[in-house]
Amino acid sequence: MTQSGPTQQWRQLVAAAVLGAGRAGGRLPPLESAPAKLLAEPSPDGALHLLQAASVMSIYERAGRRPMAAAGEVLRPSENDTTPPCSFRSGQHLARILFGEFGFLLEEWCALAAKRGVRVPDELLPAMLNRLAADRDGAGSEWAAVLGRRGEWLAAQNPDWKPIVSSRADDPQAVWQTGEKAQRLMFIRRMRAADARGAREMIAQTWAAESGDDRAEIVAALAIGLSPEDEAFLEAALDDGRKPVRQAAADLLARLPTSAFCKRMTDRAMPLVTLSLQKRLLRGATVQLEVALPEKPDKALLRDGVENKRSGAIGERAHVLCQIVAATPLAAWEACGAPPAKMIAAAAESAWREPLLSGWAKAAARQKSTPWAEPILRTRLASGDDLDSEECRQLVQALDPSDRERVLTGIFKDSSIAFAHSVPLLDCCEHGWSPAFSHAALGAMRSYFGTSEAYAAHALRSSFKQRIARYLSPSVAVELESGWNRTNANWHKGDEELVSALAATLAFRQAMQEELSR
Amino acid sequence: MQLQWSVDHVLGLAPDDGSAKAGQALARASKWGELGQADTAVWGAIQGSGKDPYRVRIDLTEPAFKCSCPSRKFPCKHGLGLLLILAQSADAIPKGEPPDWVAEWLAQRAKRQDTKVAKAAETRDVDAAAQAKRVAKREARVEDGIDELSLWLRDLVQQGLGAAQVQPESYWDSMAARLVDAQAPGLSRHVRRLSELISSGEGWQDRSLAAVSRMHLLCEAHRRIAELPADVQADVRIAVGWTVPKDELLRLPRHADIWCVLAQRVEREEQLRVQRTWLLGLATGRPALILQFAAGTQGFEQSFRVGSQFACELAYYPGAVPMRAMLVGERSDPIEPPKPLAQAPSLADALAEYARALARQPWLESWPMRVSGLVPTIRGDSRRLFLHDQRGRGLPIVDRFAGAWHLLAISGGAPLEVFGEWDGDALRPLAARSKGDSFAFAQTETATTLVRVA
Repeated sequence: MTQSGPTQQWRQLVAAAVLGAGRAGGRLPPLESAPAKLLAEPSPDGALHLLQAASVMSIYERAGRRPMAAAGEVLRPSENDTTPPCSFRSGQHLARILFGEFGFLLEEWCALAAKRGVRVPDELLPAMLNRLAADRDGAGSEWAAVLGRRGEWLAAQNPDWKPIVSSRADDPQAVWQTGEKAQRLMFIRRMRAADARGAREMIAQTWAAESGDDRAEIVAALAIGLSPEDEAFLEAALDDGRKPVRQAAADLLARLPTSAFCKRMTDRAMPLVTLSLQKRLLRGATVQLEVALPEKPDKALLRDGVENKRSGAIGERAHVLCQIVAATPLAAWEACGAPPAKMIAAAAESAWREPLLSGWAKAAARQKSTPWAEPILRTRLASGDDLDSEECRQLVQALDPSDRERVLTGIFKDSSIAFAHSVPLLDCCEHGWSPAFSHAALGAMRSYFGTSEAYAAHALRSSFKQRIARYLSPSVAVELESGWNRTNANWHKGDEELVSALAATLAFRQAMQEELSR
Repeated sequence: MQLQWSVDHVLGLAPDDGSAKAGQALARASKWGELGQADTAVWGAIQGSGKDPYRVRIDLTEPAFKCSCPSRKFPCKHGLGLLLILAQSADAIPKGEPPDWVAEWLAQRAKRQDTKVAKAAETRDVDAAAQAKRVAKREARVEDGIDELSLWLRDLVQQGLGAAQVQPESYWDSMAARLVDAQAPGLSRHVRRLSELISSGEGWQDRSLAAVSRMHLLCEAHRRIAELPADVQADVRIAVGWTVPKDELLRLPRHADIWCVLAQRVEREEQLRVQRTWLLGLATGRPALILQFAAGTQGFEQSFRVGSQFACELAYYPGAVPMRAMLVGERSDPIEPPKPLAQAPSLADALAEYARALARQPWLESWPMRVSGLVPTIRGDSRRLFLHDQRGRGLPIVDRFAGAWHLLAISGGAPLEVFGEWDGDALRPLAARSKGDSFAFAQTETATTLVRVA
């Protein structure tokens, strides 16, 4: 912004004052006629004369200041929004999410607002965009719908916010070809969800010019909307020069049971593991298991992403077996006619427990198979202490919400499984819990917190405060604060904080949901 | 109808972030007993660490708080918690007549308000002779201080501002301390401010010389104070650091009007918090500034909700451009629905008005400026905010202004009405209106937010 420049005279006064009246000498310019009238008689002392003149001129300058034209183009105003802003109260809820203690509820607010057909109020857009720039994943998938035209217009003017909305920009090709890394990944993930084929074709155009690190992340983005159409592209990526790219491609191919990759893996797995159903008169059916360890991996196997090295307690060759099993379609094993639970039980009792169970666990997670995931999860939980929590998380998340609720409710009732092992699984149930499941989960938590096993579970408590509270059904708000082991000697003050935090969050969510469903 | 309370309003009343957080933890109706609300009051009881539950009463007209807990913070977390429930889920508080313990307090408050006004109006029976002697003594001290300051300023200009830039801190400190001893705290503040301006980066030369000249002008005016008109005399005395006694204010003419709370800002000066509340008289169009001071975590005596309107009598502190004021009568209940404000002037008119005020009061420090038709844009690598009118003429904004994107967001590229403090060089926006919606900036310890106020 420029202002009407100061008068020549003021500049001379400033120059003289910086230098010092002593050095500048007594030669001050005569004042302009208007301010001169205000100055009765100039002092003979140079410094005082300077002060007198400056006193008059500084006020004269300040009073006479005129705004000047600002250089630059005039901004194109925002288009009118067809979606109305949310209500005053919903705006207050959002403000508490953006500025207060309920930051983790942004996803739910956005989903409810999108469903209700309202948008973020204008005055909260800067905070909303700052939040999205820092963490888009935490906002779920509906945030774009609640920004409105105004939000997009605003974001387009701030380089920090531009990537948030740029995938909806007029020219998607330009974003993909010249955008920044985060912006491009964001763009391709969204495009993949909307138009899987179009996104893959766009990737293919620039593939040769991508850096190794970018290629790995781009391949991983194909997990969104993955279908057999992607096979040729992924198969070609198995010959990539970079290991992370090859691994990402192999991981996705293992999720496509009809792929040539899966066929190759099946051909390798079948001779190694033999499962046969034995019907016995008195003891019912059992599964007979025979395992032959694979040879040292050949080139073809290495190309398919199998590594020739040990993993934890699993030796080199057994680990090769484990990786082959993990990439083999589970349906191939079911051909023997035995139910998965029987096969898992047989493996669990054999010397090949670890390679087979962890291979199948990985396969169940990749292929999202409830009949396999459930018995593996139960077997792991019942055996107790050496739980691989990452594996459990993947298994729970492989289940769709209704199966997940049914399986976990069963596990809570199973007296052979300790609450210390089952309750932490709630942390990975990332879906809106039904009232019945919320009730069951609270029951399990009541049995767990307050016991000596739970006393030191600080990380779990703090994780629960934010995560469980997001998914619990508000219908349990009434019962939430009662029924806990408060009199138990192992009732930790963190437990009380957890209960109180859950109650506060539920009350807030209830108010938020009510306001957005009005 | 009751005013709609927002969480931001309530949290704005908290004396510190700790209280705000503690208040939020208590903001659930299930934690409370004896809850109730009437048009202008809300009450409830909550179990704390004491034997009996704490009883909390809030008079919503100001609001004023009363809690039986021993906390020294004001308002305490219980009061905040209760008001938060009202803001978040008013339906959770049953409506009804205030019980005795609430009604008594409300009655007491009304009575106290009356006697306070009456008492203050009484001329205090003081020993007039001793008073005059004290004043004469102080005047002599102030005159000595001003003589010294004049010489010091002359030397400063003689040696040059460039030389002053490399002076040690003690150079400024000793002059500032000398003026405190001379009982001229206003002048002392000017010296401290000058020491900041002298190293304030680009343009420091102009700013420093302007400040030096204003001080010189003040010294000269004080020397000839008897020849000046009475209102300018008052300006000079206030600028030097004399305070205006309350009873003197009460003898001045009163201005009755409906006042709209335009904006509010809290500044921290070491242990002191200074709250600046800008009012606008709806009938007269006159602005008024209410200053309140609070130490540490204490609350301010009166609270004003930005966006609200009330009828009251005000007394302005004397001066050529009366601005600072004090409430002298009882405040009415909030006016609902709020009355429309007169159209704000254009940029050119607002600046002309400022120039006229400056001609009457050359020491004006911050001038309330309400301008309509300003379009915000953000330009350049520095992402500075510009507010310009339809002809593209713009106002500079204070450095490090954190609300630029907020103004842009509510404008959508269309003209806004903006209210802020103009210091002669730059505007500090405090509130804005966009197509009938009013917003005000609120500053917490961690973030700048723009809050919808009406």
